[in-house]
Amino acid sequence: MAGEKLYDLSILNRISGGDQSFILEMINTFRETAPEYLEKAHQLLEKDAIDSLSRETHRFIPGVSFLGAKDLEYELMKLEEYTKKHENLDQVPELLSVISGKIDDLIACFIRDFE
Amino acid sequence: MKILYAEDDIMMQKVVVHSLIRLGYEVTTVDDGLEACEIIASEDFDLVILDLFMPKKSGFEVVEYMRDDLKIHTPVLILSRSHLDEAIHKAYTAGANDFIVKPFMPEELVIKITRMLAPKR
Repeated sequence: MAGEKLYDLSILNRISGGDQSFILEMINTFRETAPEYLEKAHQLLEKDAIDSLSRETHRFIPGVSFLGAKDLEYELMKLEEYTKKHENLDQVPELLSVISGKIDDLIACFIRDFE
Repeated sequence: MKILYAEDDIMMQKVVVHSLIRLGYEVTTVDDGLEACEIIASEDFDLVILDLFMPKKSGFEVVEYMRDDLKIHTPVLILSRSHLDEAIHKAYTAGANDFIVKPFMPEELVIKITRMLAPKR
């Protein structure tokens, strides 16, 4: 993933009129909330609480969209779809693992670009 | 102009609040539907923005409480991830005035809010 741009801040730039402190605040909020989402998602999966996992994922997606993290958003939408419809549930653990990896990559990317 | 915004997702909340403050609105935020009901019962707002899926009470339940119990007719804008949600239909039936699908472009939010507040300006 070296050199890859895993995000696109154009929406946040438009919303904030290019306010870099707001954009940094959003990135930092993502860095705080994404691990919380992952931890909760894993716990819910362990408890087989599929509907709750769907709701948590549903809630997490818009923030990811605002960061323009398309790959991560795509995987999250797939997880939301599977859990909402209770379909392909056997693929959910692997999907969550993929999402976890993409979140790690995105956070690493933010650290590289903004610290 | 005072706006109440009820949303449990912190990133979404930050984006919307930032957009509204840039437009010159005074914004109060709450994190769940129950808090929204409590503050609506005690304070006047020019517009209420509600996430559809919140802890404790959904956006739908908050609108229902406003219209049926409090008899308050403040305009309500619903935020949802899907325009196909049956709940959006229910929210309209309960008395919501408009909805916007997340994530939205800032211009879309501005247009909706300006239109909803236009009669007051």
